Amino acid sequence: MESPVEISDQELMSKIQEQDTEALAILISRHSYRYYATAYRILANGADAEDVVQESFVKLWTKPDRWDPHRGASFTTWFHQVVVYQSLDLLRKRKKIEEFDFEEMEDETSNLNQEYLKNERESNLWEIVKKLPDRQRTAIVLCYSEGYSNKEAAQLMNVQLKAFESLLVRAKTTLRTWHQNQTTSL
Amino acid sequence: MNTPSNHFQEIEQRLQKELPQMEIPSPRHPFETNIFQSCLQHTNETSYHLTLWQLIEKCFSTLHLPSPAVSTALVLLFGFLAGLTTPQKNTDLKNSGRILSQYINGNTGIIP
Repeated sequence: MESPVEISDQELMSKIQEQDTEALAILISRHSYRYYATAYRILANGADAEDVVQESFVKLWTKPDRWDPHRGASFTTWFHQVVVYQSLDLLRKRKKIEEFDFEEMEDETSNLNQEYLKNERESNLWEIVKKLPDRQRTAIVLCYSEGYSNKEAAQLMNVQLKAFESLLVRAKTTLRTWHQNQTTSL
Repeated sequence: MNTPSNHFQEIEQRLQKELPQMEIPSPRHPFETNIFQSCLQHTNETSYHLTLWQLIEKCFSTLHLPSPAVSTALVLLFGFLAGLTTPQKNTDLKNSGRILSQYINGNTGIIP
């Protein structure tokens, strides 16, 4: 086999389609940490992020033909979406609550958060983002950390664009409250 | 003076700047090996089922039979048709009591 650095992801994927374990090992060592970071940002939990990345690679290994290079998306873009979907799926399973109830619950949590954040002395932004309700945090992470547009992120989260923008506004309002208190207490 | 809209802008800037640079805790060791082993485990499970099915198919092709699925369907169909068309042959069984009593009474007409 060629040096792992010289082999493109596309070549590795075609080898994986022939059940080449060496190609799989190279792909895992090349990308696993990067996708772990993505899953971690969405889930805000290391163990869950590990599980998601592991499941995503198992899916890739058992159904490698799901990625079609002729559709135009690079391997990294496609697999990034797989990891995001898996992460969101885990959040949904964990909640096991209907969409409507979920929205209502988030509103309540958001109000609680605002109250709580009045006394929050944490200065690290991520620590505050972590405490946001799951869907608000996901919206923030997809836009500001993973580089998706609002439209793309809404599609990934399977919500209407307006609903997504509302999630963003609620999250930013909570963060603004925290920021305001932080600057006034200084 | 800091207005609410200023705070909004500031938080927007902080999100853009700080989130991509946030520190991610390392995954538990050996992360990559665990992923790899998990994948291989799934390969073994899949290949076991494939091998079993392939083995059955191979047996059928050696015996010059159609594929296992087709053969099973044909056997079931023929069995069903045979069950429908074959006349009932259990008359003797139904009449066995009568024949037996006639025989005992020496009135059967059957040569023992």
